[in-house]
Amino acid sequence: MIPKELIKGSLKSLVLKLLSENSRMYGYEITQKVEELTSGQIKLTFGALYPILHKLETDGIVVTESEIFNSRVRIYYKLTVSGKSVAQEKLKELQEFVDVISLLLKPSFSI
Amino acid sequence: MAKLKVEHIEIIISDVSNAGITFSHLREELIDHICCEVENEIFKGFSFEEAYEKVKTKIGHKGLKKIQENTLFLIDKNYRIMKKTMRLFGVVSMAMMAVGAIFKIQHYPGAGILLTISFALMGLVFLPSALYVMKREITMKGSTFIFITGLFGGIALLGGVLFKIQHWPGSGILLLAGYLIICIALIPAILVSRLRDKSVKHLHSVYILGAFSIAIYLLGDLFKTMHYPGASPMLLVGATLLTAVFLPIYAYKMYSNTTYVKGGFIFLCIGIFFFNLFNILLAINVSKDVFNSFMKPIQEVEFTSNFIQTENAEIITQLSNIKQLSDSTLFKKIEVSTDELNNFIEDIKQEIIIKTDGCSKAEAIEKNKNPQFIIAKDNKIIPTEVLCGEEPGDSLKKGFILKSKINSLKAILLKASDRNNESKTLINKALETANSAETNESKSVPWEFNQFYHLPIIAAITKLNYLQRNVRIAEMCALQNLEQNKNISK
Repeated sequence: MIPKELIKGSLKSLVLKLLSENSRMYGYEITQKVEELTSGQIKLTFGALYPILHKLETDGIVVTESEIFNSRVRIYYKLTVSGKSVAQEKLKELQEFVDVISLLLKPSFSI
Repeated sequence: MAKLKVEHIEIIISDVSNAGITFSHLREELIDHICCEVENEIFKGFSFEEAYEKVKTKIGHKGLKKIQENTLFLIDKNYRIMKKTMRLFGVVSMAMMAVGAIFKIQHYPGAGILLTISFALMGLVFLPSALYVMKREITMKGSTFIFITGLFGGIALLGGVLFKIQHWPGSGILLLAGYLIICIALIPAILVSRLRDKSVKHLHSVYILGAFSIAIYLLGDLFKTMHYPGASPMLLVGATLLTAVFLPIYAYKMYSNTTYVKGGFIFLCIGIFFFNLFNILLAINVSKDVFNSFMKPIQEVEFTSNFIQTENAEIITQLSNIKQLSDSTLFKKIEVSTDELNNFIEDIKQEIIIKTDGCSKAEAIEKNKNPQFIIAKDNKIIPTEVLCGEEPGDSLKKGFILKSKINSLKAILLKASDRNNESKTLINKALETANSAETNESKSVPWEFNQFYHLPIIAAITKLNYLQRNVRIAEMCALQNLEQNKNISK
């Protein structure tokens, strides 16, 4: 399992990535999806997830819609129009970060 | 995927609501999330209870509240600033206050500035920011009123305490306003909002009791600081209700409801403990101050006695040099009897100190000189036992013997000053041993009983010191008279 500290900075981008691939998602679904895609390597706790979702909402990157599901309210998140470009930008940033890190981690064969 | 029953969802909804989650749509999300997790566990083959227990363990105690705090912290800039301000200034002002208090106690310079700054920071920065943070985290009915009264009551109270410590004018008004706002507005408002909360119905009676006893206690505090009458019974009732009635009942109700002890409860106990400790220490400190200022005149009395004794000794030397005195044995008799009575009183004082503190004779002599070192200062039994007994008129007690000794000395002294009425009056007054006057409420009792019955040892010593001084004064009157007569006969 990947330690929390490493995931922390890129959580926002990961959530945006998922939201850009699905029309709308709710909290539990996001945690499950992350776990499924990374075969349990990354466990997104809801304690970390919801503050980020609310932050995205107040920043106008996502909007929410609520629906009654099985006698409880379910809140769905989806990207706004401006949010989509933000998402792309964030993903680009993350990709660059990954590239740089892998460059740094490449084994050095110099003598 | 398993589907939860409606009644199970109800349980989860009420638990999340009780956790105090009020921000935006976070409550609904958390309910939905927990339901999904529980459904997932049930799908694996657990019962609802087992599944819910597992999920709750995963969230942890106060976990939900923490999420709300994190959310607020992330999205709300004001909240973030206020929370940081609250933490920083809370620590800074507390530390400054503690250092200021030490400086004040030790009389180092700068205590006033430290205390003023720390109180100002606490009242004007920490308190508002803390209330703002609380307001964002807790939403309940009438909360705006609670926070406003809390703010003004707190500022007035802190200001009042500061002004009082610094001896600035206006502390009375501030303290009065602070205490009244807290007792009449804040506590009832908190109580009402608690009573509106139906989910803690089993605690309603306890809340009423708690609010009532705290209000009484605080009003007692107010009365004490403002020197209004009736403070002591209020403090007594308030403190007793708080520690002996409210706390046990509250503890029982909390224990019977939860299997673990909440941190808040421990804080409550410690808080009440310090509350009481503080007040008790305050009381001791006040009485110590009062006591020490009373001890000073007592030592001065002893000084006076010694001074008069030296003067008297001089007169006696002069008298003994004159051959043609009408009664040459009288002044000798005066000297011997006065010294004897003086020593008798000295012995009584030593005896009661030895018996009260169980100390050696040498220690008793030392304690006689400095009565503040007597350990059981308020002992009433030993002085009563030695000097007068439980019934008036006990002729075996030292007080009775003392009276007869005073009377015989008085007779000698009066004889020596038979031609001087002024001197006679003074001697009679200094060595007064009459029974107490009969009044409607009380019967006449013998002098020694009136003087020493149930008198604390510290007061008995004082009284005997004064008596020793009076004996010396009376002796002086008589001797001076003899000296004048000598001049006349010349």
